[in-house]
Amino acid sequence: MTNSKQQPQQSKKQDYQVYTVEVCPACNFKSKRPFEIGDFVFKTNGECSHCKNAKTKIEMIYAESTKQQS
Amino acid sequence: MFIIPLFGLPGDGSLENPIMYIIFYAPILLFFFYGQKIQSWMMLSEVSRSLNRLKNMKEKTRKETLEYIKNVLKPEGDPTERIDQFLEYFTIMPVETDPSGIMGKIEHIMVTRDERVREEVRAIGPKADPVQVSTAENLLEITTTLNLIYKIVRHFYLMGKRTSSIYVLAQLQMLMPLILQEAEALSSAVDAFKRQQPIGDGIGAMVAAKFMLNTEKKTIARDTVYSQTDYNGRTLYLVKAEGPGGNVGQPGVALERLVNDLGVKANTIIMIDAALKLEGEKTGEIAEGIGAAIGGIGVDRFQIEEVATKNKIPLYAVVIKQSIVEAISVMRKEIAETTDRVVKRIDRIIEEKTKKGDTVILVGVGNTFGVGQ
Ligand SMILES: [Zn+2]
Repeated sequence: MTNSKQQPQQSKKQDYQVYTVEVCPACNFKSKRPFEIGDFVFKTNGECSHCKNAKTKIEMIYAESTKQQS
Repeated sequence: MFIIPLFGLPGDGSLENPIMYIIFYAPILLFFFYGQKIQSWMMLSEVSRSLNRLKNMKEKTRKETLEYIKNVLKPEGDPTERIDQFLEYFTIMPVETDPSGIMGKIEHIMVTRDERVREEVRAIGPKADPVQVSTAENLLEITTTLNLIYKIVRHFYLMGKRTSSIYVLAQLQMLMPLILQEAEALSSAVDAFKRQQPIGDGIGAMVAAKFMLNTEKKTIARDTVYSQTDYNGRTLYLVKAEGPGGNVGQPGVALERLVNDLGVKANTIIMIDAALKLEGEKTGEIAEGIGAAIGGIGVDRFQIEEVATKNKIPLYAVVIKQSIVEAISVMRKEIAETTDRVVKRIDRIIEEKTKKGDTVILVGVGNTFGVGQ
């Protein structure tokens, strides 16, 4: 009984994807990509692909449900 | 149930046959005299199934922790035995019957314990960087906790089985869903910890970090940094655990040092933390209140309350609601996106409760995994 009740909970756990959101301080260009190991919030990353004037900063790292998007 | 239509109802004469009589009444007598036995047998099997799930979670976490330690910390020998010994590590809390000065004792024991864990990890992987060390510390803590939960549940299960006490089993069965929920939350935290992703609990630290950007950060307590900045005409002191490793730091000690040693004349303290939501509340709801918003064993809360009371500094709290599972697994989008709204709330508190020229201390509480500053 308990087993069957808890099974959907376990599968729910895997139904998300972790994203990293980067923002350029110069032109405010936002980009979202899948999380990579080594990312952390407020880490300064490579050059902004949009204006090439400044280095982007990671603004958020979060898990998003993959169910809602489809 | 099948007996009735097949052999007729009682009273129509079919029960006069002795065999029919036994078939009809035996189950009733069986349940009457052995009902409790049957019930306890069913409870036993249900608890035993849950116990198995706990065991699986414990084993899986242990395996993943070992893998992390082997692959990342790169110890010289095989660390398995040492880790297994470490899982049995215990902490004895101070005597509570003479409570005077107990907070100092608790703090001393907890600091010793944390240091001990760190030394252990450093001994296993001497070349690891601070982030890897804190990751291993957090993984070990989860594994130790799961191990303890499993052993306690097993203790009561075996005791109930041996004494065939239905009351022990009933209590265990009633608590089982809550225990399993807690254990599941812990084992789901492993994924986030291994990859050093921010967890829901880190939202307080993340908000403080946002204020800390482009300021000079100095260490003020164990794994804790502070910085100073001007904000809307106020002097703002910011405190948070040092990221991006999985630290919670010592916000209490930090605040004590700021006010007592560095002589910061604070007019207001604002604390930001994640708070457990009640069932039915929405994840990412923001609530405001009064008091020291900080969890844990109570040492930091005590220290902050002491400093605030002695110096008559009002304590304001802003909390972000989330469930226990959300608090220790990868930060959900709903939680991450509250940052700007929390900053707006803090702006308003600063605007309403302080004047230009005042000094405000802002403490971002929480595990700072994956959050820099
Ligand atoms: Zn740009």
